[in-house]
Amino acid sequence: MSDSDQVHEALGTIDHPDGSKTARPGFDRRAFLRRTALTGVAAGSVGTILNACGSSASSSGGGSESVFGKHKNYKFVFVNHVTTNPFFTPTQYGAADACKLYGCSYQWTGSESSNVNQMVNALNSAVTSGADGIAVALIDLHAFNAPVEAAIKAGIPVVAYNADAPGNARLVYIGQDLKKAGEEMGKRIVAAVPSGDVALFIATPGSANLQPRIEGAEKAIKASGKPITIHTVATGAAVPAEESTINAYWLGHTNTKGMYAVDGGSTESLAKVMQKNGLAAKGVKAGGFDLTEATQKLLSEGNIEFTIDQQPYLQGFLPVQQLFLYKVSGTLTGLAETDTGLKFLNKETVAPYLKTKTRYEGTSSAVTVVA
Amino acid sequence: MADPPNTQPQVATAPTEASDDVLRVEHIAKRFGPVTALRDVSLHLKKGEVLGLLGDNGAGKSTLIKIISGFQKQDSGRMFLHGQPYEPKSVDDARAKGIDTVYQDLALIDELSVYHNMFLRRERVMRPVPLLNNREMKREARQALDGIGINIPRIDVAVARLSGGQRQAIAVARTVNSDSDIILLDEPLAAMGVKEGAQILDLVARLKEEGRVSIIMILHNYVQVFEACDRVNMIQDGRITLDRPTSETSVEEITNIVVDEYRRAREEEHAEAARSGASTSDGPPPDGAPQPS
Amino acid sequence: MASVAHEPAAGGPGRGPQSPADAGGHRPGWKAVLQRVISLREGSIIVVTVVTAIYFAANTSSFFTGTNFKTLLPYFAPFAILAAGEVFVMILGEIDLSIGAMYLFAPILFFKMNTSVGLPLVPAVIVALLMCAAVGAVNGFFVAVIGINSFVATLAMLFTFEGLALIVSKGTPVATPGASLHTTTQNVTHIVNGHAVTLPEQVNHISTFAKIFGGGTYSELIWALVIVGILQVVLTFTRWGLYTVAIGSNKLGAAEAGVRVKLVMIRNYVLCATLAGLVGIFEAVRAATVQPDPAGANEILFLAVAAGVIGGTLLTGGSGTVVGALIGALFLGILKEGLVLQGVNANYLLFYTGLAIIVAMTANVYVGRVRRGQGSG
Repeated sequence: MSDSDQVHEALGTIDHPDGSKTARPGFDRRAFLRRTALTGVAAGSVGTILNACGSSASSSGGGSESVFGKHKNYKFVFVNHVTTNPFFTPTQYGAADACKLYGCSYQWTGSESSNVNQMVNALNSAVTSGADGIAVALIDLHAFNAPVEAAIKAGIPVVAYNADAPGNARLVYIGQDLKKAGEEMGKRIVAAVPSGDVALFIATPGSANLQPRIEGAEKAIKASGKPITIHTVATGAAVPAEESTINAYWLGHTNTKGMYAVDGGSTESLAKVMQKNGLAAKGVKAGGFDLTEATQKLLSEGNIEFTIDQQPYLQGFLPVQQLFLYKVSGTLTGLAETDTGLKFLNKETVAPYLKTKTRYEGTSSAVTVVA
Repeated sequence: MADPPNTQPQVATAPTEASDDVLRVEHIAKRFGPVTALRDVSLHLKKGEVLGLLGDNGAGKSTLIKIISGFQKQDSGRMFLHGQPYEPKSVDDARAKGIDTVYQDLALIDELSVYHNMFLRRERVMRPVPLLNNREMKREARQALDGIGINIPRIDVAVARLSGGQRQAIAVARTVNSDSDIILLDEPLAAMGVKEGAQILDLVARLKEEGRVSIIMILHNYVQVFEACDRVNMIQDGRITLDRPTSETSVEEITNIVVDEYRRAREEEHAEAARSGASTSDGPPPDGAPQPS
Repeated sequence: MASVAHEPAAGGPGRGPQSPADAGGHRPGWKAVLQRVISLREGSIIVVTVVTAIYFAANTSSFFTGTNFKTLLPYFAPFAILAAGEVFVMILGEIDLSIGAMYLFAPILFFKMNTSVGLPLVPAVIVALLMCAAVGAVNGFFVAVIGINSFVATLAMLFTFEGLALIVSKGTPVATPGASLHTTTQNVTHIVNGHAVTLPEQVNHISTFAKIFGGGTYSELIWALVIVGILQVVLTFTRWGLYTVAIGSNKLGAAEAGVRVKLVMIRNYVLCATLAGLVGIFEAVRAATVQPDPAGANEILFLAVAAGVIGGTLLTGGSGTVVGALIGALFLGILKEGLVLQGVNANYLLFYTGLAIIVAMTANVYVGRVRRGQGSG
């Protein structure tokens, strides 16, 4: 969309019923990405912007006036795979805060149960409703390719957040580098458990938001050459069932030296099982991903050794920020591949999370400055 | 428990078996677990005859009907249809052999229309695509109902919307219409007003006049039995205890039999209670002798 | 059970769309037309659906557009097919929960048949559907012959085959065979502001197979309309349909009349499971991915049953309509799509959907009473 040629611009809005895509000669997406993705947006700079523009934020209808000048009230749509999952509560706060800051609005929609067909439906509806931008969690490698292409063809910028699919036409990805996160976890596993049986728990094997982590972990463990036997265990998407699955696994495999989970639900359940059976004291190593309240508490009590934070708040804030800048700049700037982080938290470093209840972790809806 | 055949209770009158029997039932017994429904039942039915089957609730009338119609199978005993051994494998099989039943629980389908009910399992379909030929069924149903004098104003309404008498009449008409030569009617007058009951009895009388079909009919009301039937059989405690043409007996006689039976059973109970000892299951043979007043 | 009075027994709805209208159309006007519509079994849900559509058309500018029509299709067409099959089981007075598993399992089996066994696409689809038919037959066997409660029997099959789907797929999503896009570049001439401009364009193609089996824009709609049409005829104008209603209305009576109850029941379960498998394959082709995801499949199952019930089919059996199921699915689809278009967030979406269904069903019952000419009761 970076070209300003009138003919091309007109072509961009032509609706091709046969599903064809206009190749815009003036627009090379990869080149564009190279240009804009030289540096990721640092989390710190977000705070600066927040302070700078906080007072001018307004999302009242019609248009908004900000440091960027008068602009329309952009509407951005987040297509999510588990819309009602508490993991994404801070993500929604992030999106809401960014909208308030920049004077735009967002819609949170998709599927409650990782149903990609429902997500595709929601994405198509977003296009139909004339959204100004779409953020989608690309949890499937194939399903979103055609719909995302169609949206971009219709002139709607699409970014991926939380999960990415290689080969998808999305403009940028904003979220954790999942494979790298898995590899880092794998290194920790190798350090903690030099040999023996290690169980890796995953809620839904194969989903593009989780599978790369487990593959990364396996890769790192294999690369170490240590005599570690990996057992991958699917725990399912429902938290109560996850706990009983993990508990049953432990009871059946008490010679397991380490147990690790690659998703938030499994991590919380794993920590509960560790606590229930007093496994940390027995020398069983454990760790996982994400920061539910229960995980934080159990981590601080030493039931698991670490959890990896991926900053879900930023995964809501940054897509809105980037899409907004992309719109107000007339597509000249705004988009940047962003890794929202790979932050290992242990018993000590989790303390501040436990002490404060904030929007940034989804533990409170109150708008307060954490001193 | 089952008595050997030679202790079979006396039948009040001599058997009237004849060569023109369309159906003969010999020594049928049927048990359901610990319950003996039929001990030893024999009966016969002549061509064009209307046989009334009497008996208290639980005496085994309905079980007998279900065995004859192929819905259940007897434990022992044999049946003969037109002199040939008759062993129905199913309701369909019995129907194919010419025996059809109107059940006490009315095999009508509430949600289906009158004409669909009348043609259930004998639907008229079009050629070559087997879609239901509703027009033809409506026409034939109307014809059949008119033919036996049943007045149903609308035959395309669901039978759930009809009165009990109308429903029963349709059930009978369906059976008559199915080219059966033996029709079993299980309490055709149950849950029916006087006027509606009269309609059904008129219908039976017309069928009797035609003489084409033979009918076995379970009834409760003795007056109706004498109005509609040529002959009456009484079942008590799984046995036939009376077999007599209606012209040779009366409402009073049958009433007495039933009352006697009731009294005798009570006396026995008392006697047993008085003895309060080991009871022998072989009581005196039931005193089936009628006491004409 | 039978009313003694000569008045028509209350509560006996007429059968099918040809059921007698209580009102005679003496003067053809909008009132008569409305009365005729309401007199249909599907009448009340038609009214409710139209009102819902009008509401969204009035409140959301993008709702009543050609583009949105295409967007709306996948919100209801798959559910219409699922519900059409389910209606045949619900009329029996039974339920089939295993459709969720068939929806999940059929595309996985299709994938395996194509990739592991090496069958061509269409035979692979046929094998997958035959498998679903077999599961349907087993469902029917358990319910009709063994006599297990259908809720429990099909729930067990739901778990069994969802589990099997996870085992066979190893829980990993895969690309649907024959559904991937391939892109070619061609020169296309457009007229822009009166000038002819020829530019190279990338054109996406999907295979003919994918176009037919759910990938084409109108594929699922056409399948839904054809299947619903055929099944409504089967239900209303064939012995099969007649026996289905008979069994649901009076199973013992149907058996006494000589209807082969078990055979009909098994047949209906086979139909229901096969259609569910077909929809599973359609949806896998449409999304270009085969997802072993039981939670999503279970949600689909509930929506399909809801579409049937909302459309006017009784869960207690004996009465039902396939066209109603289509309209019930359409109602749910319009409701959900309209709310999404309006920008309703996910947490509120469920809330509004629930409220709307209750309002719609209340209206449905009320209109139904008007249809039967009863003020109350």
